[in-house]
Amino acid sequence: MNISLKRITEDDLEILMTWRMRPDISKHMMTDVKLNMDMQRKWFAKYQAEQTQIRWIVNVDGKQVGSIYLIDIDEKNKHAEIGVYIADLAYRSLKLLLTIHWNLFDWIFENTDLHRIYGLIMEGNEAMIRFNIANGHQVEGKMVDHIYKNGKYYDLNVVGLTKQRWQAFRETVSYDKCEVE
Amino acid sequence: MTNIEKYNAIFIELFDCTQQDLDGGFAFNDIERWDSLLHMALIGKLEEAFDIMFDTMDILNYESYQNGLKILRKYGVEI
Repeated sequence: MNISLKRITEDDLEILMTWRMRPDISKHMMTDVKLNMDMQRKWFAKYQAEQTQIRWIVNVDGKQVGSIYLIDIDEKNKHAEIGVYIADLAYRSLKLLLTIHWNLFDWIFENTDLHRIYGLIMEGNEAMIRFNIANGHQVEGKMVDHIYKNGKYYDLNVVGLTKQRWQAFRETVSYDKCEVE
Repeated sequence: MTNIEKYNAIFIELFDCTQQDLDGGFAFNDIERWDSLLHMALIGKLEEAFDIMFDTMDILNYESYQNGLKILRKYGVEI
């Protein structure tokens, strides 16, 4: 399996829009969105200008299967939020998910000045919390009733990974290397 | 309930399968709806049932019903 992470380009806006609006993907997001290509192009111009996020397309054997991203990059405090979704159901394996996370962690802590990355996980997605512990994060806490979505409040669980924690954790696991653009 | 009964019950509930399916060999790659979240849901249920916490590489290598029995024994579960 040949895996690579490629930075998004304007050519990817349509597939990103399609994925993001899919109910099985948006149910784990903090918002449900209705997008169109005009909105996507405006968003991409802002994305390029502000540089507070980096998004990659996950490619497996030349096929686009999902996206992994850093958002809310805070250069002053040296942290960013990480998120991911695998849209192609045939590629939702634990091995792929761990491989892309671990390669991205290597890339982040070797190529940027970030000290900590964190994930925000909606209440009810316990499997994702356990996944994040398995990939090296620690559970840092919970923001109670932090998200209001579809007429209901949801807690938000916070998981985090510092550079030091990753450097120690990576010695305990083995994984295939993949290209991160 | 014995440990093997607890183990089987978790699989049967999570995968909506039968005892015969398990006895016939139950590899996750053969299951159409198998994905990372189902994988982690299984891990979470096993950890809760047997009061253990798997190392990450054991989670990654947990690929079938039979192979899972071997991994559980590593954690001192008599099964």
